Amino acid sequence: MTQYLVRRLLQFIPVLALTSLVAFALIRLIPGDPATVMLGPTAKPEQITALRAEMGLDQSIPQQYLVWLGRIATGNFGKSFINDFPVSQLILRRLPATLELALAALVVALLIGVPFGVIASIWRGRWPDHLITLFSSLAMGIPDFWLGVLLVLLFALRLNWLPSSGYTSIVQEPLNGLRFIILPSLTLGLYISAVFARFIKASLVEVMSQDYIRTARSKGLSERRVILRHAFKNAMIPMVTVFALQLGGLLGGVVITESIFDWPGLGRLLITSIQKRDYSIVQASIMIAVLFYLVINLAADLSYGLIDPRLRYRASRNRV
Amino acid sequence: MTALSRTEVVPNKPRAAPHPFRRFALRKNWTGWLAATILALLIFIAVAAPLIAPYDPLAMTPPEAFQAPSSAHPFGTDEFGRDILSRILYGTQVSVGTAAAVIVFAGLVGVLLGLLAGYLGGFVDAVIMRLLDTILAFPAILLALGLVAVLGQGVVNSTIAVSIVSVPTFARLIRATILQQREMEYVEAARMIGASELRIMTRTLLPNALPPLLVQVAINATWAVQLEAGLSFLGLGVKPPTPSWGQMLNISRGYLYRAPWYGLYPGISLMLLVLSLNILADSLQKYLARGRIR
Repeated sequence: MTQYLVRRLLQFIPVLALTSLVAFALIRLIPGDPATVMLGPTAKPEQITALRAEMGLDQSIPQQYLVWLGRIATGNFGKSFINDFPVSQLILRRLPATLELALAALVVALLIGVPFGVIASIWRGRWPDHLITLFSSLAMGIPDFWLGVLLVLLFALRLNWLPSSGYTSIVQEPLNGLRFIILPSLTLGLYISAVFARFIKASLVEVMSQDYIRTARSKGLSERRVILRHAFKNAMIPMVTVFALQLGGLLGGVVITESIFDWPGLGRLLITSIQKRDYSIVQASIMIAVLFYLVINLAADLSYGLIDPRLRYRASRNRV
Repeated sequence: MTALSRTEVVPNKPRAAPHPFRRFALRKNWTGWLAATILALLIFIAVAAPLIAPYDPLAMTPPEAFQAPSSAHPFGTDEFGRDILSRILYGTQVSVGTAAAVIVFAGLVGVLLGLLAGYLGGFVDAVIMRLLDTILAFPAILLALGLVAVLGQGVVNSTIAVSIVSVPTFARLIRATILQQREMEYVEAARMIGASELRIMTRTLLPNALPPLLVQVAINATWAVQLEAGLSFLGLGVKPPTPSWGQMLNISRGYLYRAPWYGLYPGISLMLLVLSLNILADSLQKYLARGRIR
């Protein structure tokens, strides 16, 4: 296991190295000199020279890259081009909102996806299954930005039940926060719920044909007990990978959802930074997102073995 | 639709005689055919937009702004009094065109890289695959956003960005097929009768990858459409006034009270395209998995 972990962590290195190169190149690719861009057209030459020295732009490119890499490794992402705030602070301030939204979306996805998957597998080939299949196809085909607009039209404008945009921390004001988070989390979570439903159904159907299910039934257990105690647990094992993949996909989804609902999270920060050409923030966001993505995928692979002892056994025999 | 997570086609187990699309029977797979028909219709609209659009999609008549759907303007008019139906018809060009360009560009580069990696192996394989893994390590929309941030806004740049994001899935599919088939007897036979390496690669090995490649094309087209629309929705894709569905959706958000119907039609069009591509990919995949639809 340790060996495997070390090998997987080593695989991070080339990916992160390339990512950092891309992120670094980002700033060098802007037309013009970053210092001039930052200070604007009214800057005096001495100011530009001073900033160039501060940013290390007077050194050679490989030197600059190494210095930048050293800084990033210690969590120093530099300052915003626009308002001079440290980037790490700006990102930390936005992080809670994004985490709240992502967690809420996962809750929505599980609350809808799991029961739907179980129902569809129990009544396979009958109308509940067909209805749920229809739901999944629609939920997977509807673009999230349109879903968001539709939800706002219906629940905010027509019915006036929920606010159309904005944010209140659900931690500080649970009730008010809940009103704000419902529509964004539905927008973000509906697609994932469809993926979960499909996957759980397929997985359950497969498990239900196994011998141990026949054994459980022949012991005289109720069908309910067979499904919930024997089948469900085993069907959930491969879900871990799907779950992690979707978690990674959420990263992309929050960008769009936060834009629709004016949600003050990392996604909106990234978009406004791109629009305002605040490259130090874009750089930092990309590095953090990729690291997050890599860690999630690794965690998924590892948890696989933790959940299912059979895999661990096989893995150690094959010396993976 | 956090849609933008990638789906990869896993090549089927090698079969003695691959029988490509022999019996894609209509009555047994009507959803697939419906999807294909809708898709064909949308492609036709993209090509024929200038002939069938009732108005110039760019012609502004401010006094006629925000007219509700009527017989003169079946989908209503937008904030500049432009005909929404015409703009949607022209918008098909952006969505379908981007998808087509992405498939051609990413398909060519991906197939080439996959062939090289799979057939040559060793160092070349390692370099190509690490590079592609890095692209896959990014969530697609973030990578596309980053690229647009560097390249600048516009339809060409967003197409380039989406293409780059799409290359790895093609390459990995081809590589997997090649690795699977390389040691098969028929390849050996081709080598014995003196076929050149190039010929083995392109004429002997590649055709085996075509059926799963077709499914991958449908899947990649789906998210090319979604990524393009997503970028335009975020204001980083097609530049106004060129009509695109994502951008129309974005603008319509500002007028939800005045013109609630505005965002309805671009959304429906987008969903129609995405759904029909999804369904087509699904039924092609089923068809290939079973040899034919049953």
